[in-house]
Amino acid sequence: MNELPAVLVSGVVSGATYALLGLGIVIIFRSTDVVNFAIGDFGTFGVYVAFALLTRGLPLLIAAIAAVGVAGLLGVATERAVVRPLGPGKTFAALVLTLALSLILVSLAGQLFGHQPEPFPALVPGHVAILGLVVAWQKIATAALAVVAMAVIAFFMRFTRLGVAMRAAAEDHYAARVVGINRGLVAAIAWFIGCALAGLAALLLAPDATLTVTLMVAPLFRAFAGVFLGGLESMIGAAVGGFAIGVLDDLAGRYVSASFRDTFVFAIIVLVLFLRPAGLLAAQHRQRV
Amino acid sequence: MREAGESAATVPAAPPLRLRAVGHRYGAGVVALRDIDLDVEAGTFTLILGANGAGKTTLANVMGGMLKPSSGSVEAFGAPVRYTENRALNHLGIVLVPERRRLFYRLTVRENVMLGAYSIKESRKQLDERMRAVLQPFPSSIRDRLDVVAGSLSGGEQQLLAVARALIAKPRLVILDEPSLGLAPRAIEAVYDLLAGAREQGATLVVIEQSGAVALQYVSHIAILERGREIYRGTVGSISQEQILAIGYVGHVESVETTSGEAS
Amino acid sequence: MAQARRLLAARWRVAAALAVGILAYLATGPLLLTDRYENFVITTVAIYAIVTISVSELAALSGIWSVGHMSFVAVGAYSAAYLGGHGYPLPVIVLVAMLVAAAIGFLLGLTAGRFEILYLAILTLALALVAGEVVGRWVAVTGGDQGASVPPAIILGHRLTLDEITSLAILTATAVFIVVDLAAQGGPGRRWLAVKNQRTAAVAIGLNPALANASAFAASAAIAAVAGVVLALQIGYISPDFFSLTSAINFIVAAVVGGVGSTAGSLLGTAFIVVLPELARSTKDLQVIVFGVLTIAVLLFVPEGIVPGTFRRITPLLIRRRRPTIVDSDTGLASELEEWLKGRPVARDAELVVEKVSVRFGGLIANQNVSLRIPPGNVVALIGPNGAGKTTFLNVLGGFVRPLKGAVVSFGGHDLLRASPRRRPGVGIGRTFQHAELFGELTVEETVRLAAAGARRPAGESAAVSAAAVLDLLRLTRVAGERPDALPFGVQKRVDIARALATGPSLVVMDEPFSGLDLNEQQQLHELILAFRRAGISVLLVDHAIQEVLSLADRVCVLDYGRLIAEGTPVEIQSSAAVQEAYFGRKEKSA
Repeated sequence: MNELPAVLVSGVVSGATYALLGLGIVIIFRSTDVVNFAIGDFGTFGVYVAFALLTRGLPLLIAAIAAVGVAGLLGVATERAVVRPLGPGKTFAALVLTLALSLILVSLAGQLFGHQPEPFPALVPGHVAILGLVVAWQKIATAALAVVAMAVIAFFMRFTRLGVAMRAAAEDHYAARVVGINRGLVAAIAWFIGCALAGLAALLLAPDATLTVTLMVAPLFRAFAGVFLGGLESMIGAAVGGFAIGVLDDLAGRYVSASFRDTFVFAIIVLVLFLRPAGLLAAQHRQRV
Repeated sequence: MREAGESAATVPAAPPLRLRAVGHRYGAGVVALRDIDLDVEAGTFTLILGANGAGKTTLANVMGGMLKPSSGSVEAFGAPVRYTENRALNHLGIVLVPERRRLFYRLTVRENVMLGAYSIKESRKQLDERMRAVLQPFPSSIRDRLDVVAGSLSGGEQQLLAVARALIAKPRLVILDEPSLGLAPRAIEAVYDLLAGAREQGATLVVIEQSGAVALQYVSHIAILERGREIYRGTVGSISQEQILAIGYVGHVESVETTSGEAS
Repeated sequence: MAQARRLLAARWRVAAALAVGILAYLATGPLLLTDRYENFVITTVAIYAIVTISVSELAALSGIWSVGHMSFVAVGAYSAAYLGGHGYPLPVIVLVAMLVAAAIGFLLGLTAGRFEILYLAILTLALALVAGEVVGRWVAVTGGDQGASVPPAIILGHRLTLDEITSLAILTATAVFIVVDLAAQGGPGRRWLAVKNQRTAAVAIGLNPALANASAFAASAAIAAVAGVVLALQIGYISPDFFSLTSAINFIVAAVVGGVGSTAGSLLGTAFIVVLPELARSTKDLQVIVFGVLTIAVLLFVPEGIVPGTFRRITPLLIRRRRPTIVDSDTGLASELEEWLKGRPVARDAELVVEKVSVRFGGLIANQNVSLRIPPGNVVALIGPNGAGKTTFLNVLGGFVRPLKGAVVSFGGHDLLRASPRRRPGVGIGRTFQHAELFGELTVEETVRLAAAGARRPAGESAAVSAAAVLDLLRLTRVAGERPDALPFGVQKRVDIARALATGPSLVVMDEPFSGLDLNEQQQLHELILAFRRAGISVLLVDHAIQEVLSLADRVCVLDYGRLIAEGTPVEIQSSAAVQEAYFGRKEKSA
C-alpha cells in the first residue's frame, strides 16, 4: 500500500502549525530584534486557559478565541514588563530572558493546571474520505485555519497604515522614528500578533498531541528550523520553511528513521546554513549603515 | 521657572528652532558638538557647511529630534524640545531628511510617501489627494512609479523621494542632512529646485552639506561648522564664494585665506 | 608597568583559585567538616563550574554563545561509561573525550564567523536537542533511556573511592579555573578578543579569525567534556535526564547571572543553579519559577552579572579613577622614529603594482580600470569625493573584495589577489583605519604586542621588546595600560599607527588618517609620514581632503565615479580641470 499521500498530508498539516509559529517568531524578531524562545509556551498557556473554560462548560469557539487572545495579551505584557526595560540592542540577553520565561511559564502551567496530559477536543470532529484517503476534519481545519490566519496577516501588513508602518519599522528603526512611527506601539502589536499566532498553533496541535506543559517544545524546534530555512528576516520564508520542515520531518520519520527525527531536522538546518547563511528565501538584505 | 507673561510675549516671535550652547559627546571620548548657538528664523533657507567629522550629522539629529544633546537647550517654536525614544519631532511640524536618505527600500514609493504623513490623522482619500498635490512638481520618474520598490530607484530619485516623504508631512521646518551626497550636480539641482518650491509655500529649510557648490545659489543664510564648533554665521552675501567653496575642497577653514589668496 | 600590574593580578587570581580549591578539599576531605550530602553538593558545584566557565569564557573571549555545551558534557560522561566499561584507564578516557568534543567544537567554531550570534546560539541549541536524541536512541553505547552505569575510575591500576572522586573533582575544577584564567589573560585570550572586537583589524595584523573561533570553541568543548567524565564518575550512573534542554539552558543562566568572563562569577553562577534547586527539592514547579524570576531580575537590574556588577559599584569607593593619561611630548619623535625604522629588517625594494582593477556590485560600478604604482619609499595619495570608490579600492587591496578578471595586484612580486587577506602583514603591508578600529577589550600595550607577535623582528628580540620600542617611539608608553575607550580619538588613531608599525611593514596603507584629528595632531602625523618616507617605507594615503596630502605626497591619484580621473604630482593635480569639476560640480554655475 502506498503511504506517501498520507505522509505528505500529515506533513503539510503539521507544517502549517510550524509555519504559524515561525511567522510569529519572525514578526517579533523583525520588529524588536528579540528571538522569543517562550513563544510556544505563551501558546500552551493560552490553550490551558481554553481548557479551563471548556471544563466550566463554555462553548469551544469562545474557549478557542480566549486561547488566542490570552496568548497574545501575555506577549504584550511580557514585552512591556520585561523585554522593553532591557533596552535596545541586547539581543542575547533577550534570548536568555525568554528562555527563563519559558521555564517560568511551563512550571506555572504545571502548578496551575497539573502535569497530567489532558485530552483536548478537536475543533471539528469526524473524518472525510478524499480520493480514497481518509483524513480527519481536524487536519483539514488546521491547514485551512493556518492559511486563513496567514492571509489575514499578509493583508494587514500590506494594506493597512499600521501594517505598512510595522514593515517600515522592521526594515529600519531609525527611519521609522524619523517619520514619527511610535516604536513602542509597533513592538506591542508585533508581540500580540506573534504570540497570538503561537496560541492558534497550540490550539491546532493540542487535539492530536493531548495537552501537556511541553506541548510546544518539539514544534518550536521545527518552527525554528523552518525559520532558518527561510531566513530570520523573511515572513514568507518562515511560512514556506515551516511547511517544508513539516513535510521533510514526516518523510524522514517514515522512510529514514523514526528514532532520529530531530537529528535529521538538525542536519537540514546545518546544511542550509552552510549553503545559504541568510536562509534559502532570504529577503534582499540591505546593510544598515 | 519662567514667568507666564514673559513666555506669552515671546511665543509669537519664537523662531522654528533655537539652539543655545548645545554640545554633544559620544561615550567618554569623542566630542561631536560644542557650544552651538543657532537661531533658525521662519522662512529662511540656511546652509550649514562642514567637513567630514565636523559634527554635521550629530547636529542634524539634534535638530530633528533624534538625539538628545548632552548639554545645552533646544527650543522649537518657543517651547523646549522633549526628546523621546519613540518618535522624532514630526508632531511639531519639524521633519528630518536623514543622512543617506534612509528610505524604506523594501517598500514601494507610494508606501514611503504615505509613511511620511504617518503622524497626520486623515482619511485615505485626503491622503491620496494631498499625495497627488505634493508630488505634482516632482518628475514623472517618481510620479509614475508609485508602485515600484524604493530600492530600485536611482540615487537621485531616492533623494527626491526622501524629500517627498518629508514634504507630505506638512512640515513647517525641514532639516536635510547631506542631500547631495553621492549625487551628480544635475541631480543635486533637481533636489534644490524642489526645496526652493517648498520654501515658497512657506516652509523653513535647513540643509547641512559638506560642499556648498550647488546649495549656495539657493540659500539665504550660511553657517560653517568645524570640529563641532560653529566658526562662521551670516547671510549668504557676507562671505566670499571662494572661501565657502574652499571648505569642501580643503577640509578645514584655517587654510582658507592662503588658498583664496593664491587663487585670486 | 601595565604588564607588571596585570601579572600581579594574575598571580592573585591563581592564589585565590588555589585557596578556594584547598578550602574545599580540606572541608570535604581530611577535616570532615561536611557530611556526605554536603560533599555531594560541593562536588556538583565544582564539576558544573567547569562547564560554566567553559561557556562563559567562550562567550567573553570569542563572542560565541553556546547553548549546546551539555552535549560535550554528555560526550565526556558516556566516554566514562562506555570506555570505563571496557576497562580503559581514566587518563585514556579523558583524552578520548576531550578529542571527540574538541573535534565537534572545532567544526562548530569554524561556522562561527559566518553567522550572527543568534544563529549560532540557536544552532547550538539544536545541537543540544540532537544530543538528547542520540543519547536516548543510540542504545548500544549509551544504554538509551535505561541509562548506563559507570564503573569506578582506574588510575595507575588503582580504583578510586568515592572520597577520592570528590577530591578529584575539586582538584580538576581548581586546575581548570587556573588554566582557563591564564589562557584568557594570556596570548590565546588576546588573539580571541582581537578577532571578536575588530575582525578586519585582526586580519590586518595577520590573525586568522576562523581558526581563532574554531580553536576557542574546541578548547571550550574539550573542557566541558572533562567535566562530563568527572560527573559520570561522581554519580556512577548516567541517563538522558542529565542532558536535557533545561540543563543546557542552566549553564547559560549561570554564566549570565555570575557575570560573563568572570571566573568568580562562574563559580557563583554555578552555585546559583546547583544550590537553589537543592534548597527546594519538594516543590519542583515553585523552584523553577523562583529560578526563572531571579534570572530575569539579574538580567534587568545587574545586566553585567552579579560579580562584575558588584565590582563596578564598589570599585569607585575603593580606588579613585585615574584621569586618562596624556601622551608624552613629541620632541624628537620624527628623527628617532626614522633612525629606528632604518634598523628594522624589512624589504625596502618592494613595489605595489595595481593594474586594471574593476569592481561591480550588481549594476553599480565601484571601480573601473584603476591602475596605480607605489615605488619603494614613495608617498602616494588616493583622493576623491565621498562615494568615489576609495573604500572599494582599499578592500581590493586588503583582499576583502575580488576585482573582475584581468586585474593585477602585487607587492614586491607577491600576487595579492591569490593571497588570503591575513597574508598582507606577512609580505610587508600594514594598514590603518579611518576610525582607528582598535580592539576594545585590549590595552594599548597588548594590542601592539599582539601585532608584533607575527612580525619579522631582529634575531633575539621578543614581541614585548619590539612593542615597547614602538610605544616609546610614538610616545604612547604612558597610556600603554589603557583601553581604547579611555583615550581621546587622536590618541586612538596614533595607537592604530603603532599597531600597523609593529607588524614591520614596508608599505603602510592609511585610510583617512587625518580625519578627526586636531590641527596639532595633523601636524604630528605629517611629520610621522615624512619620517616613514625618509626611512624608505612607502605610504598609500587614502583621503577625501586634498590639502593635507598635497604637501606630503610624491604622487596624487584622483578617483571619481570609480575611475581614475587624474594622476600626477601635487602641482599638476592642483591645476587639473577634471579635479576641480569632481569636487565642485560644474564650474560655470558656481562662478
